[in-house]
Amino acid sequence: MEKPQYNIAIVRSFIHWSLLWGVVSIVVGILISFQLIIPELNLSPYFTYGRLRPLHTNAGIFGWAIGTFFALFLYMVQRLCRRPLWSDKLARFQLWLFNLTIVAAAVTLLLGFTQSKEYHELEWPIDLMVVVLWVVFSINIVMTIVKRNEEQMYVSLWFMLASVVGVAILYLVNSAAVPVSLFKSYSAYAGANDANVQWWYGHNAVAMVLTAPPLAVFYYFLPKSTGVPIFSHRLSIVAFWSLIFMYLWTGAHHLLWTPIPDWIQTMAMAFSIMLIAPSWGSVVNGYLSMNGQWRQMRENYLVKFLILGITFYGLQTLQGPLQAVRTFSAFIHYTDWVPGHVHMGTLGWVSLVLFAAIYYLAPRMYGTELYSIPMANMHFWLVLVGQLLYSVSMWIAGVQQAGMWHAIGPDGSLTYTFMESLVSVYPYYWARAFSGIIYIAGVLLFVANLVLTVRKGKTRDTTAAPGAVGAA
Amino acid sequence: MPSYAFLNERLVDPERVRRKMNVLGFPYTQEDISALAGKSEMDAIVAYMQKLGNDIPWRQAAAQAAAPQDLVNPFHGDPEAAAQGASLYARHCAACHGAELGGGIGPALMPGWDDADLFTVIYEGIPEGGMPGFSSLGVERVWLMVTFLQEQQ
Repeated sequence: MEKPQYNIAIVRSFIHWSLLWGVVSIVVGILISFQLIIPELNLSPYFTYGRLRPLHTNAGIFGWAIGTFFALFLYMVQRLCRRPLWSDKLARFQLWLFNLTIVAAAVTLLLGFTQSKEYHELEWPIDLMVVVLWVVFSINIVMTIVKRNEEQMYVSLWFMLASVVGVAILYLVNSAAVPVSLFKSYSAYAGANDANVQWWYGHNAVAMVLTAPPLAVFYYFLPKSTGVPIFSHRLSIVAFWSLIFMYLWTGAHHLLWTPIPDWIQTMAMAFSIMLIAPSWGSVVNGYLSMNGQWRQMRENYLVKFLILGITFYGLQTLQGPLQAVRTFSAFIHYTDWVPGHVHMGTLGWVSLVLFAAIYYLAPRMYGTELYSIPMANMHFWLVLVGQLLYSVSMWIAGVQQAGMWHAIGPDGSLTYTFMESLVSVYPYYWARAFSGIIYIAGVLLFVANLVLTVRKGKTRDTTAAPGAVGAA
Repeated sequence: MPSYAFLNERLVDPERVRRKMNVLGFPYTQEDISALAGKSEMDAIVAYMQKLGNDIPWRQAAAQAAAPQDLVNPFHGDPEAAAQGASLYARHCAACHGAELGGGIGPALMPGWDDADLFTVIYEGIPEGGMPGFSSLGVERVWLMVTFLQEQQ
């Protein structure tokens, strides 16, 4: 059968830009981790922690993660539907609007414009840009699927569709606001309702941006990398529908012990626990797909990234539900335990899977073999050690803070001031800042490897079997 | 902590505040809004933080319920207690009243108070004067600070 003319150029462009935003996010992350221990590094007003922290999260989630998902969705959808993109021009427009939006986000955040909603800081004009961006992207993905030449829809397409629809609904509902001026607006909801909508959005951003898309990527690139199919397509579909059904009810676990109605909190807690099942459905599917292929953990660097990635997904989806239980939440909520948890998901699960996918694509984007597999292995170990040091140091810091905050005297007064608890976690803050440097060393090695692949890579042997590339 | 001195140089724009309050539906009068002329963003943030959490009825009631009935200083004249009170003073009071009690943001601390009055002022604060209450530190720590202040006089 003749191969359709797939558009690889747009995939390459998105990856290059997302790499840039990824490095920006990590650099800003390292800067703010040092600001927490050396306050003089805050250069007011533009470069204070309060303005840089949302820049770090927006560049990471929307620049690096979504930018790479744009690239990988546009890559996967063509192959899974066995046809070129519905519109190359729309994809090109999407690329420039994406970068314009990220730049507008960075500039306005540094100028101090914010809606003060976590992961939804951008003021209403940029909200509108995001909506246009997402509509353009959705049309291209959905139309390519509608006009597909392959009847069966592989599980990755289902996860992609969920992400496309889910993000649209979440973003629109949570961005409802009344403008006061060009860069100031107030939420359409008030008080506890506003908080409830915000965390329905906030937690499902984790679902529709940081879970469904990397699962789509994992389900596509694991069998592509190992050369053998996934263990069970049926299991993956069951896990998909139950995951999508359960996730949307869990947001209020961010609001345990608040004035949100008690039954909403209890429901969020119950659904969070139930989520362990579909999450581990995908984890188990990934592990069983390795039956008879475990030697590839030694021989194929792509598999190492993917399997460690899904392992961190498994750990993340056990730790998350644990944190959603009232008693445990009362202990660790508002401590540094939480960034420890989040970074296991972002640095461990999401980024490891994205690194693997980009390595897999490198020979296909550049027409040359990857410059150096030992460099890729070094990259793997640096980001793994960096991420573990980050999470473990923050978990210890969080438990220590929680213990000090909860210590009370016989008359009910607090044993420690907030300042005393802050000073006590400085050693862990140092460890965290250092972990960021280890992580970025790995990422810079990754970028250097890609640059050298373009400059010095050997011309690719296109007669090799598809799965053999990673095993070389 | 980073320096936020730039907030002192930025004036609140009453017209902009009026537009914001219209969107939020707050029933402020034009006089309330006009009175903001000349205030800085620093003033606004100080006012906000002084107000924050101060109108919770059960919290006020709980602090009053925990206050001792007979205001007798259990540490009166105890030099060790005064030393502990000194470190509490340095942490909680010196920023406003000065390390040497000479005043600053708050007034200088003058002699002539008895234990019970000092306790009441520290424990409950003077809301209309801008001084917060320190009931959250607990009865014992407030008495330690009273002991330190009496020793200084």
